[in-house]
Parts: sequence; structure tokens; C-alpha cells
Amino acid sequence: MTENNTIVRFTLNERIQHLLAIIAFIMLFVSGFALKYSDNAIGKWLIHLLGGMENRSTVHYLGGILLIVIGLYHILYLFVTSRGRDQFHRLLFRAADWKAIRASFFNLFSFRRPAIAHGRFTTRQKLQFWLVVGGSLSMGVSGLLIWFHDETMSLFSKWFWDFLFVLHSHGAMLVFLVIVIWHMYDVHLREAFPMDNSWLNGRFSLERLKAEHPLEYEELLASGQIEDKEDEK
Amino acid sequence: MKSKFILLILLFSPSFVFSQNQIRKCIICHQKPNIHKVMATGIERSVYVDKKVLKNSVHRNLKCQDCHVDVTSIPHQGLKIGRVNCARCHFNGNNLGAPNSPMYQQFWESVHGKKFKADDPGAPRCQTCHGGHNVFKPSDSRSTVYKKNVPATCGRCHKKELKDYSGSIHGVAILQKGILNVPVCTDCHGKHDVYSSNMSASHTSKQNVPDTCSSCHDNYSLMRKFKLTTEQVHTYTGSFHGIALRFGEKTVANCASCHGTHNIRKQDDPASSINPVNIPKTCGQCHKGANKNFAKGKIHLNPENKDSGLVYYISNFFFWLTTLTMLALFAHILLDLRRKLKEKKEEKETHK
Repeated sequence: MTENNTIVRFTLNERIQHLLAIIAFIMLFVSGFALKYSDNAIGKWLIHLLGGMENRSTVHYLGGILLIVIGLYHILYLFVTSRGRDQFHRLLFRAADWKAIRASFFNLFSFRRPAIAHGRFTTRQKLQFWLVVGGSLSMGVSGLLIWFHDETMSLFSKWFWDFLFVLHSHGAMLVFLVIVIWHMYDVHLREAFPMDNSWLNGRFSLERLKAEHPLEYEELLASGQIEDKEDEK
Repeated sequence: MKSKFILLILLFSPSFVFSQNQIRKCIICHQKPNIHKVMATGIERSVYVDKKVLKNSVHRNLKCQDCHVDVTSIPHQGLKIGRVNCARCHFNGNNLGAPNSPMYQQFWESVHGKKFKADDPGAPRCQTCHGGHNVFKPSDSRSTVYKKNVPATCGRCHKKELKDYSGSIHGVAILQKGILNVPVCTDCHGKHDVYSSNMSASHTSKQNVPDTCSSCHDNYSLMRKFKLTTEQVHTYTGSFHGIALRFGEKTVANCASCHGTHNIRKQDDPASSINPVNIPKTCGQCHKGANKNFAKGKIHLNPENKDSGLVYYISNFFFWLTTLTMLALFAHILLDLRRKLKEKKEEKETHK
């Protein structure tokens, strides 16, 4: 498992899921914000770039389908495979996470991050995961209902569709903030500028593992999957 | 004194006599009410001239021959007399007293001009709309092209359109109530520049309809007179229909798709296409399976307006949620960045 003092943090399957999700998100954000901001120059430019309104819709629909397919696959992955089940358990919020959140609020202006030993996923990473899950779910459901507008308006009403449209449009902005800004800063820019290569090759250095995920490090050490490199010296 | 007066009259009379001389000669015959000519087709056509009307028209200072150039002698038996050609004076750049405007050229490119060039017998000439001897300025209520008279003038050929228009909110306002601030045919279709609606240059083409309607409906002071808002324009341009239309989509709804064209009526009128009862049919033109639920909620929806109900509150809620999330996120990132920079500094110092 270890190689050049790195471990495999994400399997190939997981990396492909992540990559496809990135593609779906880019398709959705570009074609969606093109419509949301169609009254200004950037929106206009994006719509022309996408080849007009009809192509914009097609790109958005395709992105939506891709995200839904990946979402469904991911749910299967989390519950059917043993690796997935293990990861899912590690993604759940525990008492330690609530403590971590409290600690971070009490130490907002301190020059040091509160010393909290994280496991496989830090509290911030768990929060990001669940926000993406919630965001994708609400975007997916509202998006499908907006897509099939004739049926939605016949079954419910015009104002319900308007409500969904506002929800979808504003919700997308929130999801964008969380995924693109927070996730990018937190897992890519902060720890490994310009990015954490583990999303490409899956590998994560033991040095960083010990510093950022000490509980996981100890766990792997105990199970004998890695050896303490300080012992080697 | 008396002799001086007679002299004065004698001095000025030649011009007076000569200028009216030609009209006087022609009018001897043409003032008879039953005077007519027999066309080649066998149809009798009146050639009666109402002297009073002619003397008040914009052409009162012209002689008959100035327009009827074929008449070279009187009586004119055996002479072939053609149609009057208005373009002898009415061309852009003339110094003959006729108005100078690109409208003459516009006519030839219009749907009427093109049909006229193609020898369509139904195509209108200048005289068809402006009249022959009864040409007045458009601002003169006697004119056939005076705003209030335009529907009747166009309606001589466009009968169905006139019927629909007469019952519409615009038609009732001008024809029955005499309100001149409402559009007549020419305000939407253009005057000399009237094109078929499927031509992109037309004021009533799919892409241009919103601009044509908003030339009045986006005018705040005008709309206030009728207790209407200008919001309809902005809510449409911000809607999916409006955005798609701006980017060249031709299948989306414009104003006329829902409100109708000549038969635009108030929402509470049972015959209106936007009456809630008729909404399923109106929306159903494009949206298959449209039913009465389509009428539940506002069509021209402005999420920033309290009238929008739940949508207004949701929209406001999200505005604050997004703003606060953004602030919290940026604060978090900046505070954390401060830590990171300090960590790096310390790291460097320990390495030294």
C-alpha cells in the first residue's frame, strides 16, 4: 500500500466518480449561470459560446442527467460495496465533530487551529460532503420538475413552478459557493497549493496524513498497513 | 378713390383669374354629381369632384393638370388618361413643397409596394389610403389618415382585422371613447414601412413584437393615465420566454402569443385570451396538457414584488441566506488564511 511514503487515499473508481461530478457541475454551472445572468455581458457571452438558448438548455439537461446518474451510482457505491459502506460510516457526524465545530467557533480569531485530532475525514470535509449531497438532491428534484414544466404546472400550479424556479436559481448559487469556493480553498489551495494531487493519482503523503488525519494514521499503523517512517530512520 | 380701387383689382386680377382658370374649366363638367366614366371592364366609375373639398385640401394651390398630366386639352375625349403619379412631386429631396422624407422609398419596400409592383389589383396606391382630391394633413381630422380614421381606412381592405380591432381594448378606446393615446393599425404595423409579420424587418415580427408593444407599455407617464404599470415589460424580458426570444428563439411566446393581436382585451373580459377561463387554451397552444392550474399564480411575476406571495418571501429568504453564507465563508477563509500564513512563517523560522 505504501509507496514513496504515500498511501492510496482515493481508489480509481472514486476518482472517476469525482471527475465525472466535476464535469457535470461545470456543465450545469456554466449553462445555468448563463441563463441566470443573461441580462449582463458575461451571460450573453456564455450563451453565444454555448451556441444559443437551445444548446444552452441541452447542455444543462445533459449535465443534469450526468449528475443524477453519478448520484445514483454513488448511493449504490456507498451501500453495496464494503469500501463504500466503510467510507459512509466515516462520513457520518459524530460527537467529536460537534465538539470540533464548537471549538472552531470559540477560537475564531486565534492564530492557531484548535488542536482536534481528525480521522479519515475532517469535520469540514464531512460538512462539504453533506452540503453537496443536500444541494445535489434539491437541485436534482427541483431541476427535474422545472424541466417537465408542462406536467408540473398541470399537476400543481404556475406559482409552484415559479417557486421551484426561484429555489433552483438561488439554491444553485449556494451550492456554487460551497463547492467551488469553500471546497476549493479548504482541500486544494490551503494544504497543497495549487491543488491536492490525490484527486488525480489518489495518493496522499504519510507526512500530511499524520498531520491532518492523525486518527486515521494511527489506525493504519495499528492495523499494520503502514509503517512509521520515523521508526525506519 | 374708387378709381384707384378698380385699378388695384385690375392689376391683380390676371393672376387670380389665370390660376383658377383651369380648375374652373374642368369643374364645369366634374362638379356634376352623376358624372362618371365607363372603365374597360364595363364598370362605371364616378369622376365627380367636390369643389369644396378640393379647395380645402393640401393641394388647393395646384392646378388639375399638375396631377392629371394626361389631360392636355379640354374637352378630353379620345385622350387616354392614366392614374395620377404622386411621385412626380413626392420624392425625397424635392423642392416642390411636398414633404421630404424616406417614406416614399419605404413604400416600395413594404408589403403594399411589393404587391403593387407585382401588379396585384388589390394592392393599395397612395390614393387608396390618402384619398384623391380629399388629401389633408394627417393631423387634420378630415384626413383619411387622421389617427381616429386610420382603422376605417385600413379596414376597407382588412375587414376581419377591423372587426377584431373594433372590439378590442384599443379599438373601443379610440373608436367609441375617442381616446387618442391608444394604438391604431399604423402604430404597430408602421405606416409606409408596413411589412409582412414573418419578415424580420417588420414591427410585428416575432422578435420585434415586445419592442413594438413596449414603445407604449414601457412609458410610465402614458401607462399611468390608464392606471396600468410598466412592470409587464420587465417581467416579460426577465422571464424565460423573454430571454429566449432575445437570443433568437422563434418558438417562444411573445406578447401577442398570449394577449392576441387585433383582439387584445382586458383580462376580466370573458372573450379575452388571458381570462383565467381561457388560459388553458391560450397556454395550450404551446404547452401540451395545459389546464386550469396554469392560471393559478401570476404570469407576469416579479419575485421582488410583494404581490408575488410565497415566491417573494422565498426569493428574499435566499437573498439573505446567500449573502450571509457568502460573508461567513469569506470571513472563515480570511481568518483561516491568517493562521496559515503564520504557520508558514513559523515553519520557515524552524527550518533556518
